[in-house]
Amino acid sequence: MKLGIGGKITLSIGLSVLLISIIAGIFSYVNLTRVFQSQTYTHLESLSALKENSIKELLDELTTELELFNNSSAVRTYLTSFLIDGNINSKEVISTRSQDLLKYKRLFSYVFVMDKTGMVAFSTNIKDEGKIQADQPYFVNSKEKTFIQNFYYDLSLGMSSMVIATPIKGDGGEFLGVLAAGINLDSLNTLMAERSGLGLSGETFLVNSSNLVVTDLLKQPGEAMKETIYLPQIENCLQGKSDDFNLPDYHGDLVLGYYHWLPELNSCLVTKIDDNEAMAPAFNVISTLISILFAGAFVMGLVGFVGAEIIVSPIKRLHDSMVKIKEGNFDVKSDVSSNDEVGDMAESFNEMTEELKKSYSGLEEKVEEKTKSLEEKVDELEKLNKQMVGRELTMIELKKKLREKENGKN
Amino acid sequence: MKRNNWIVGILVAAFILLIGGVSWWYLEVRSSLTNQKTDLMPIQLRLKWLNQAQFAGNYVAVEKGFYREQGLSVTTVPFNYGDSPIDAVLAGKAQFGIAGADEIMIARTAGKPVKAIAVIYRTSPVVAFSLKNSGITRPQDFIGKRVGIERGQNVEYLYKAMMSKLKIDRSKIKEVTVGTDASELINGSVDVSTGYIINEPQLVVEAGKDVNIILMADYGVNMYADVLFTTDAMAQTKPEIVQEMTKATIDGWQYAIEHPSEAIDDTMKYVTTSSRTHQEYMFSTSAPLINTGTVKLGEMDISGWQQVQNILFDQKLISKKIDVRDAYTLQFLNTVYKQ
Repeated sequence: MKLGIGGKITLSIGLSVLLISIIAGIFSYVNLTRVFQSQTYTHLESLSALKENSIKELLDELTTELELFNNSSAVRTYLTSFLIDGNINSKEVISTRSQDLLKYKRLFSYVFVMDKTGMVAFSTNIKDEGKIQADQPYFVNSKEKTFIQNFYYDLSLGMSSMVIATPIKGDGGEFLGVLAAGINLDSLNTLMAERSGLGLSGETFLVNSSNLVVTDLLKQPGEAMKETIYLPQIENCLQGKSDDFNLPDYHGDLVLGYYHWLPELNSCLVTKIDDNEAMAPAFNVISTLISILFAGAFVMGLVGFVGAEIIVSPIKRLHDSMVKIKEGNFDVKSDVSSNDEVGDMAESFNEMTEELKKSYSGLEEKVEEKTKSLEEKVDELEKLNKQMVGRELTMIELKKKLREKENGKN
Repeated sequence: MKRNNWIVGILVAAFILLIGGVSWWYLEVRSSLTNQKTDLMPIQLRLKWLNQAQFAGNYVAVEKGFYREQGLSVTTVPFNYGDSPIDAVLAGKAQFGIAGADEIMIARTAGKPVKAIAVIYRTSPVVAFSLKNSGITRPQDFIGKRVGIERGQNVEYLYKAMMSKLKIDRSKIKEVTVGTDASELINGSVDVSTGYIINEPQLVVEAGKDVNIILMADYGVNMYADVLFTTDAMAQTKPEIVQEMTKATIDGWQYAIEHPSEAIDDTMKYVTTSSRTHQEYMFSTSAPLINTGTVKLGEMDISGWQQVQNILFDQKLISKKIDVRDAYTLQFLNTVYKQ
């Protein structure tokens, strides 16, 4: 296929603009995604820090409230007398005070007291009284100081639970038993469910040291305390680390996330958002940019095409004139009159045509002259020839007469 | 010359295609072979009781192919009175079994070489239960009442252990022998009955009466219930098979806990005499006893086994104490969770 100058110009301009667009596109993609990624990470990290602080504040508040309750003179006297003497009136007072504690800010959902053997001596859930919790972590670990038991499945509640427990000490500092309270998980769940501008796919959840998801998952509701997650990010987190990650999550989609180890809860706090959603603004910018660049390439190609037409069309017309001259028509004159190289070329062409025409017509005259003189010469030669032939004939006649005369004499 | 080049080119291309084709075919055939596992190791797993949701994790591992993935072809065999899982495994009729931690401890103390490799029920499902309107909600309420006991099982000695732990005088209680169908409580011949949370209380509910459930584990007599076990010899000579069995069983249970309704579907392929509703109830009451949220599925520790031994010893079911670490091994579980 023959590619004219116009095509070549159009193609070279179009292609170079396209190439520049692609390079610019790649660069902007790389840079923009990096910028958006680091912005998202910053957002996730700050959100994670926010949640961690809220969790810590909540746990601090719970600890403070339970310890205050335990050490308040209004409760302490009765607790010790109840645990030492089994005083029933003291139990009544503890019961009333406990109900007040439950109402206060709704921090706790139940309160119970274990004696030093681990038996539940009092509980706001009366059914629990008499149960032996000696091997429960919240009893074993709270003999010296306040202990928070991470999420576990409470059989009598039939749901996940957290318990905070603090030792009850006698006047001489001797261990009498444990005051414990079930934490109202609503506050914690609400805290985890708040997405704080994390978009539609953003979420935070907690995974305990057994890889068990302990709060609800956005994409798999009802899986709390059931689903385990064994992913690299969780494994790293459970080793006490905190870091950003850009990996598939429990639902298999690529996410941008931040995992953070929470020693207070012996759990991993995961804050994450779908990669697609986080990167959507970057992709918008990039796709706009790419469309602009492509449109630019098209427009540049078009401009190249028109420009090439302007240059090429006089050349074409000149070419047409040349073809006519080749056919012998010397009266052709190129009408190209642009004030540029092509115009100069057309002017020279016209002059050349003129000269050609002149030299061509002079040649004809000369030929005519030559022909005329040739004809004259031919005439002369013919005359001469006639004379010569006549002389010859006369000579033959004379010779004949001479011979006849000689014969007569004889 | 040019013609020769063409021929060489075609030959080289043909050769490459041939090699590629052959290796593709080889890989394809090989992977289909490994998928089909024509060389699956036949394994028999003896169950502690009749087919029911108590073993849902094992059924899931069979039906969802977790055992097959590990190269095992597992057949589950429900309980029969001919031989117990421990006897069958010791006799080499089966390679693995599900038995009570107490049975394992008793057998081990008697010198039988059984080895627990994972605990399924971390919390004992043994309960006492009464009718809702009776007001009997705690063991302390049993005094002066007729209590039905399932004799000769762990229900009986756990009940005794609980009462002694709570220092309740059993002479003030009228203890009677009951069966496993809760009919005595339903017809009113006892005030309290005993059994497994996963079964008997639901029978009462199905008979149209609400129940109070008293989980004995809440009263200081919690102990491991179902455990997956094998023999010492198996664990020592074929550790890879034990490893595969442990992994697939844990995977089966994890899947079952995450997908209860699929687990019931798989269970119903084995259950012949009971309703889906009953199995659903059984599974929903079992799951929290298996998945307690504090440790990983299957995990056990020395204090748990000591608790088993102490209760058995106190109830005179064993007469001496052995090193409990002989009764179980964490070798296989640890490898599962390292993967």
